[in-house]
Amino acid sequence: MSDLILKNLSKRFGEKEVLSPFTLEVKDRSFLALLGPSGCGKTTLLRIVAGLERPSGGEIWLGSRMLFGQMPHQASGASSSTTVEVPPEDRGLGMVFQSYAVWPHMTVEENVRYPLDIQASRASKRSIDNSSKKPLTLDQRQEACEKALSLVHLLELKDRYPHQLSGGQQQRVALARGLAVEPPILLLDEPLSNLDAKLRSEMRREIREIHRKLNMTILYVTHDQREAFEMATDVVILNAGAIAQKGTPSEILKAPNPGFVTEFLSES
Amino acid sequence: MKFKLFSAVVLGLASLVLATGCNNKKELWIYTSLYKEVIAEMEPLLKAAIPEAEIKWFQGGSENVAGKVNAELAGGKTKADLILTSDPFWYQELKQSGKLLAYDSAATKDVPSELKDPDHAFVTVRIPLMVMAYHSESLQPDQLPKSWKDLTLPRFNKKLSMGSPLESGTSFTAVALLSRLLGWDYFKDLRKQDLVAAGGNSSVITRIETREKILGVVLLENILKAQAKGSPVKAIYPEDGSIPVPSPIAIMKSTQNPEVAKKIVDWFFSEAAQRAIVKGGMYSPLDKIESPVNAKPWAEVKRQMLPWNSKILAELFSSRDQIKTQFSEIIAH
Amino acid sequence: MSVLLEATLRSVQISLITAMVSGLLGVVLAWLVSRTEFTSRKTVASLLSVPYALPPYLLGMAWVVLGNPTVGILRAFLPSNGAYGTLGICFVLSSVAFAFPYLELRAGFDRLDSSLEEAARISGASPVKVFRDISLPLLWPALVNGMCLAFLYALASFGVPAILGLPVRQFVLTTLIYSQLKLGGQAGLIEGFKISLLLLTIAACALGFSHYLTSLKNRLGASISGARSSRPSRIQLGRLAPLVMSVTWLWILLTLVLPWIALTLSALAPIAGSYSPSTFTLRNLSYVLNLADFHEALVNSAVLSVSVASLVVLLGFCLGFLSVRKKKPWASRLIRFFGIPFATPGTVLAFFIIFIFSTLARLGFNADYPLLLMAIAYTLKYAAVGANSLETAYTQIHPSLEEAARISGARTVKLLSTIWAPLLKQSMKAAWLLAFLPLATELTMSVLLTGPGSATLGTVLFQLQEYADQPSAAALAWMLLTLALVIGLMTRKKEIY
Repeated sequence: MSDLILKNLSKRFGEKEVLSPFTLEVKDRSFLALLGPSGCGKTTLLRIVAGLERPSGGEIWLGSRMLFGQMPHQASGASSSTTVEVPPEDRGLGMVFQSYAVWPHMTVEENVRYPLDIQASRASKRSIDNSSKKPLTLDQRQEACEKALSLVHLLELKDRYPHQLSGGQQQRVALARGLAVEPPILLLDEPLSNLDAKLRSEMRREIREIHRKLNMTILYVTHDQREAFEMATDVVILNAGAIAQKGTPSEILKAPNPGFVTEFLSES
Repeated sequence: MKFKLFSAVVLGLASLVLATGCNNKKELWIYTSLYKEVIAEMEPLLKAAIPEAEIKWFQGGSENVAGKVNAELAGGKTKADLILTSDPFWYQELKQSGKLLAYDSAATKDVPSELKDPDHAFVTVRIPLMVMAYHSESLQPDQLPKSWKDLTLPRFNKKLSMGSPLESGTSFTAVALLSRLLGWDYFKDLRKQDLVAAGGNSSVITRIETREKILGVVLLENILKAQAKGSPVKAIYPEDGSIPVPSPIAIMKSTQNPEVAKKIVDWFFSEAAQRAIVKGGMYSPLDKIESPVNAKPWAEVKRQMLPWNSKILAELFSSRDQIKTQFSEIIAH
Repeated sequence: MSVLLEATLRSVQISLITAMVSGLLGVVLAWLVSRTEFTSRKTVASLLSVPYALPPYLLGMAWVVLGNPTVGILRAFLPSNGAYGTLGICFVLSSVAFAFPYLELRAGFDRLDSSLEEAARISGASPVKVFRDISLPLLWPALVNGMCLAFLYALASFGVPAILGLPVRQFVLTTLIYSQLKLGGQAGLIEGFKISLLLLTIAACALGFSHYLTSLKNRLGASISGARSSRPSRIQLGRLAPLVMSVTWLWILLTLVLPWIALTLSALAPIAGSYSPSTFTLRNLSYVLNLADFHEALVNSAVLSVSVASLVVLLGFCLGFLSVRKKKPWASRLIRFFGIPFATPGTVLAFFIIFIFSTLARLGFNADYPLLLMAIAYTLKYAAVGANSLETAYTQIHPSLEEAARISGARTVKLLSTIWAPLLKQSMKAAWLLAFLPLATELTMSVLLTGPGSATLGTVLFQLQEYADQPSAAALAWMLLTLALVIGLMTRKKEIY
């Protein structure tokens, strides 16, 4: 397990600069909330970490492993570099989408097993930090799957199809799937915005529980400040593609930066 | 926007109705398989000769025209006033079912009797000639076939094409007369040569020009037309007899304007009309008219030509369907 | 083996091969264009929607020229028969029919919540695995529908098997019906009737089978909704990009550019087979332009296609409203019903119309107006195009737009003219063009229904092909293909992303 470091990362779509160059360090095992109004670039940032968007500049490091950036050549003095870009399927992360993205043609169990099965078949080729991991046997995978499902309290429904589940239950399937391989980082893109208030507060508690139990790094995108401050260990507030303030929840709440941050926080 | 749509539809339907229209007075239809160029030549001359009528032409392959008229007759009446195609057998059929108006035109007194129907139901107005054609750059004069029989020689394997007798009246007549001369075994031999029988006479010329099939059984008029465009296609007049396709003209009994129709028939035997026919590459039934340019003179052709008269016509007519089916079964499948 | 059996087997064989090839092509091309990124992708994507608009018999004519064993440019790549025969027919038909699965799958990809695929990638699946495990199963109905359409299209095709099959004695059911009618007489009519029923049965079986196949994997549900439609992340092809680019451009070259060039050369040639630029002449073009038949055909085709296209769009506009907004079941049933003549091969449809009218004629009602018969045939065949496109268009617009107007007091006619007509303008235009272009160049039905004074562009072309020299036919074919290409290019989908 290691730190996630984003160095000088930026993103433009054509003429528009969606993320101005910034540097961010996400400490291992922390729970970082990316908070901001819609359009501020927080989802883009998340997708860049996931590998679903390509940054316009900068570097991404996961521990000692470069996920994106320019790797300089050390050949005979001449300075040239190759672009390193690890595709999403090789980053070994977990992600929960706002729309759940639970596959309708597979059962709950098949959904959660999917990343486990892939990992097993690629174990020899895969270069994760924990490359010391041996490929899991069928039984071990089944165990991991059930462990993930119990964490989200869905074990009894493992043979159901998504269309037989409620929205909240589908969200949990997505969560279990993201956790199943116990990735170094779990990415969540506004996972609770489609749920009603009661479910939301329930899920907040559960996600915090999972963070405590599994001790993984969590990167959590939301526009709801209550969520961010309740769940996270660190908060980054984004405004129009730039970091407006970062710190622990108490640090920010005690001393919010004047201007945008203060205004944003006051609109509770 | 909806209004524009609506008015477009109304206009469209209105013009459809106008186009199909009701028959004006003195409008006559000639259904023919004459080539468009010949019609283009004749149209103004005919208009000038018979100004009191509006004469319309429906042009199509012989079989298409026959099919159309038959379909119209099945429905009760046909729009055609005159018919002018190159399938003499169809006229025999129409005569026997009483659909033709008998007319002994004075203008036809010089037409040989074997080219006239004894009951004056129809009379030959032009004589297309079926001969052989070849690509002059692909075959040397000493390699050419000299007769229809020669086409079965091994060296001509996969090099032959002709029109389809199911679509082309002239091709049908050729098949009918050849079957009479050489029997159906001849066609079985042609099948072994991989003879292609498709489309009309023009497609035979196309296949020669592109060298797809360098030998063809085709109308002389198509060869002459192609030569005029600079094509390297040349004719062979087979020794065992070129095939005449005596193509008649007839008046439909149901015509509303029999007097004008008769005048039109007379006109078709005038020098102007016959010249137009000859210009189109066909022979005239009247000896006094010259032969087509670049073609063998009529006198010579007549000597060698396969025989034709109303008896032969009647004989082949009765086996018309069998001929088509026989041919289909041997060649087309 | 009897002619009928042989023709039946060949029809089925050609249709199956075309469906398979189209399916494969459609899947690969749709995936490449929707989910990957490579230079010129957007251009390729929009060009691929053009063949849909092209009358395949024009392509057939072009391929006869391209594949001519003696002078064809591509003869080295083709078997000794050139473009003639089953393989040639399958190729030409596939070069148009691939558009059916292609367009269906593209629409499917657009509707597909891309986060489903992204979730799989995050889970570790390579792009190919994502396609196999996620996209394909979810797009299964679109693929099956597309392949079914391609099958029916090939089954009903007449022009291409006529141009590429008859010269080598190969019949399919449609050309067999045609030749039966040409043999003439009562016998021909009866035989034609029997073969038509056979053809219809095969078409019905194909439809039934594809329904069965789609129902096997019917668990779409949530995949279509999606909370937020984000731009799909595209797979970078990296080293494979040049290969992919060359293959897709080669396909476009082969199916659009080469045939057009072939027809251009033929149209300018003085005689068939001589394509050297020094001998080029405009004589063929002027011959066609001066033909009386051509003028007649131009008028007839224009009137028929414009009025029938407008009629079916109007029909769809009204029926769609009644079905979707007023929820009248008879309207939806009527829309479904129009699927039958649409799926019926044109030859059969025309044949039944001839049959009905000749029976009526024998009973005393003589209505032998070929243009009228053609109008009826065209309307029946293309009603589904207008009805289905507009019904779908209605469902895609939120009812609240109409409800707001009703609360303001608008009644039906006002609703239709002031709300729905402007909202549906794009869809109506698209549906109109979808009907207009094939109708303007229609061959299959026109060839059977034509008569004196009712030449259409299709029938004139067919006649020129049979009875005139090749360059003249090519001249008209070139004009029609150019028209179709221009319209197709003008109306192709503009790729946004």
